[in-house]
Amino acid sequence: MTVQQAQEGSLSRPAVTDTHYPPQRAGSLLLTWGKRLLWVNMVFSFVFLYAPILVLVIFSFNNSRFAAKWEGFTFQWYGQLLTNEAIISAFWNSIIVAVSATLISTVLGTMTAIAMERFRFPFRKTYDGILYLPVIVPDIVMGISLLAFFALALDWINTALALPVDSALRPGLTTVIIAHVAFNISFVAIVVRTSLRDFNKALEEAAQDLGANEWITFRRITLPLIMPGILGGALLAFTLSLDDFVITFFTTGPGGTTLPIDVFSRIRRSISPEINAISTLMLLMSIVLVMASQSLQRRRD
Amino acid sequence: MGKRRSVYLSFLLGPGAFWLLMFFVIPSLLVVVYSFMERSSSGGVIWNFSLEAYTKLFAFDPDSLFVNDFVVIFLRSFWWAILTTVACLLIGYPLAFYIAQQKPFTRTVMLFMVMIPFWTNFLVRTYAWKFILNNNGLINTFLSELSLPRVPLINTPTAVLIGLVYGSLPFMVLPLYASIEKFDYTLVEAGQDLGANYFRIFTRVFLPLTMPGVAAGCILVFIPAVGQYVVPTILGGGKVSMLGNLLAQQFGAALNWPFGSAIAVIFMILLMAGVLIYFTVEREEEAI
Amino acid sequence: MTGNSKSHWLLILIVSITLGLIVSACGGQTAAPAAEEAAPTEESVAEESADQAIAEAPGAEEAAESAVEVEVEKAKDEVAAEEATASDHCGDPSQLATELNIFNWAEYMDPDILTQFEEECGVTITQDLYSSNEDLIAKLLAGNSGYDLVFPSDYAVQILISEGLLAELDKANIPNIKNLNPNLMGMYYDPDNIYSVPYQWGTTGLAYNVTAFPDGPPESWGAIFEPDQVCNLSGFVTMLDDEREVIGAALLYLGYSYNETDPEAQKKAEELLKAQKECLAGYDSDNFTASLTSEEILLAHAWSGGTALARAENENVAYTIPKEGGTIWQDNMTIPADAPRKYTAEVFINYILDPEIGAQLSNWTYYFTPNQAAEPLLDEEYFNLLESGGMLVDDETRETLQWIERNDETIIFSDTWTAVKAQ
Repeated sequence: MTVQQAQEGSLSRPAVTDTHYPPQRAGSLLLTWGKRLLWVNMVFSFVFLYAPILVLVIFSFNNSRFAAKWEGFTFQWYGQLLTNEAIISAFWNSIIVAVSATLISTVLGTMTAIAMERFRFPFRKTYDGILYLPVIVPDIVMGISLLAFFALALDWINTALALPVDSALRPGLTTVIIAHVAFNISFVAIVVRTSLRDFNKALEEAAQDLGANEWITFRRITLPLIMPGILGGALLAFTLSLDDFVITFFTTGPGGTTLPIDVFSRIRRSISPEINAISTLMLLMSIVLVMASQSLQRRRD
Repeated sequence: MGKRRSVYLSFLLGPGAFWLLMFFVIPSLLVVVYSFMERSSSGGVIWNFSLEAYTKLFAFDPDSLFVNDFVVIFLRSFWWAILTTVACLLIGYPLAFYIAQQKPFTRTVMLFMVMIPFWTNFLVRTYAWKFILNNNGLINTFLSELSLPRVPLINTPTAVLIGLVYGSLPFMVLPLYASIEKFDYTLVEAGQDLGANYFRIFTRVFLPLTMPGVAAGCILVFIPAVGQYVVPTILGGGKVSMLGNLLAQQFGAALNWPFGSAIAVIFMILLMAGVLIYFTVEREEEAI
Repeated sequence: MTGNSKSHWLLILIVSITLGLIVSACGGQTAAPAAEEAAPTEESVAEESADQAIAEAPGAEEAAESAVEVEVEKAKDEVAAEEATASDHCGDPSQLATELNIFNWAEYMDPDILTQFEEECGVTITQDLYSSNEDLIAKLLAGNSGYDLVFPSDYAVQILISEGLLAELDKANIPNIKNLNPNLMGMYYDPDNIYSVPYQWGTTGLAYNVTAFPDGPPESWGAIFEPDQVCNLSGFVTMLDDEREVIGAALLYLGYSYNETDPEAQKKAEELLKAQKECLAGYDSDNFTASLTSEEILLAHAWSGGTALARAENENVAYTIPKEGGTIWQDNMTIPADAPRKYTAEVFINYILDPEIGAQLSNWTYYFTPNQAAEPLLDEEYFNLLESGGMLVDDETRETLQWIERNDETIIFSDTWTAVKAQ
């Protein structure tokens, strides 16, 4: 969300830049100390956030099945990872689910947010409450009820279409994506609405006065302005979808094991070092991607 | 125009509303129905109306600390979630403030740095914490190297709190950052020109204007924290239950779906009430 | 502004394309080595069984045959011979489906066994994982799960039968059922084995670190329940995080049965557990193997298989069933009533019950095999580990083991558990 908002702030409003940073008043002891404390808090926060990450990276190179103590350096878990079809396919499934659910829910969530902020309609307040449901309903409850719901719905479809047993519709990645979209729409809508709230409607009206239709106004004026909110919502949706275990478990079917399901089921024998290895690879990948896209954009600008 | 607007509205609202109603509201209603059914010891429910689940949930138990064990677990979960939210706010607010002051490139990178750990599986990260906090873990090994006494960390409420804060911090930082970043510092200068000190400026100008971010962050941290069950199990040694553990137990080992559903219904009513109160307060403020 | 938003889209595009490329690269890279490796694996299995054949006369013929088989396969000349041997394992090819979906506990099936079956019979197996019987029950209860073979434990089999969720097995397709140990057949949950055949079994008892118990294994459950004993190891003791196992063990120590539902007995167990909790590190069903290995935990209420696995890594870890007794449990192979590929599932069950496959399986899982014919083929190393670690069950101990049973009254265990964990 915020990531792009940051750039938006500095790029689209260059005139504001001088008021954007706290005013510097020389000689203020309080301010100096305040700044130091802020810095200390920042360092502490990042150490806190990355301490366990560092541990798992180190243990992905540990020559022991158990994360007990350091037994020497090895690459064997990375080698085994490449031949571990179960983990690779689970990784694939996770990416498919997270990317599709993020794309669909970002579009639907943004549309919902615009409707909620721009229109007055009956039961709008009720719908406002309903939008918060996915934040409130506990995972396991949602999982159990979706399990029953999909079973009923698919059974109904199978009977209606008279599908034979071996080609009947069954839960799988599609049902997982449907479920993820259902909870992600709300998160996206909540975030996008914040960026629509202090939005200057005059621009939209001006465009329409100049003869632009709704679509062009939306594409040329509204969309670029709320882009930070949309990206933020998408980021949140992707993160939630990638890490969801409970709802995924209850809505998936044969062949639909995702990475979190694999990890949760395996813990009887403690976290396998292959999981540490794939986590490390994913971490490395995300850092490289973020850095690359950022420097690319920096150069563009 | 009116007709066009309503076509436009149904185009915008329709697909999302359909999806949400179909795949979220209807299944949620199923839970409400379950909670009024009879328990089947094979899992699922027997389709006969029964208030058993609710009478069980509110039955008075003289042996318990307060009303009954379920209420005790409810209260503990809310208390721990409040502690988590406060801790996240205390760390997250200055962090978001610091990030918002950086140059655009640094800002973006730092924000991603906050999010990236969360693309690693939550269970894996929680086990990594266990390794840090163990009796033979990183912290204690370090302490004994320095010939300092070991500190019991793992399986204590402290460990649970660390885990809860760790799991929620980004969800506090993101909305806070969004509202702090929008803040216009000319207001601070105005305050200074009027002779206000930093504390007054912060409490009277800065804090009220970033309040929507604080509220959103608190909602996104508090609610998931109440329902947590992985952290109390792994870092707390499973010694005391939170609401999430109670729910997992009822739908799991106990195979008591109506009772699990009843707990969930009461839980959702309480949180929904909280959200609605927040809406009302927010609207009044907007009206002012 | 428009330019700026374009750059955002560009960013998204770049991220997704790069991600896609990396993912597909990973996928492509893995497919090749997996295929290459498949052949050597089979060869080494054949070699292994050939070695075994030298040691053990009765298996010699069979093993030699399969060693030959590999040669034949390599030469690609005598396809017919291969098919002849394959059909023993693969049943009637005309009835065999091309796919099989199994739903299993994690780390409970040697992946090599799946590959072997896939290659021999041309069936593609998809395995998904669950981590509790209740999750499995919930999925099957909803219906139309699409799974052909599931592995519920004893009491779960009983529940699934009572709900009509399991299919009757056609024994004609499972001739290897003769290999099973009669002592483990006909258990209370399926007295005539109409719906289930045993897969693996194990016990629940106490795992301990020999350095903390220099005078020998703890003899009684008192070691973990008596405050003066357990508090000597305060902070180094865990119980399983399982309401039936923990309350059951407390009941057993108090002189009741594992399945006692009398409120007074339950109340006594609750008091005992609340007192014990003060000195526990915690309740742990998932991670006790690692904790025992790292000596983070010195005494644990534990399952035999997890303890064996810890012993394989750390010789100080041993296991005992106290004199009062312990529990016995057994996981089973069953076919859901709405399974799409019942015949193929039965062929696979028969394959698992083959003596050599049975031995290969238990060598890998570290649990006990119910397959009597497989016992002589077990790895010596594995067998010694179980024996020296105190995990083997002799007839005398077997008498003291109890099954955990479920009925309408056993819900009281959940309430007792909530009370123990509430404060």
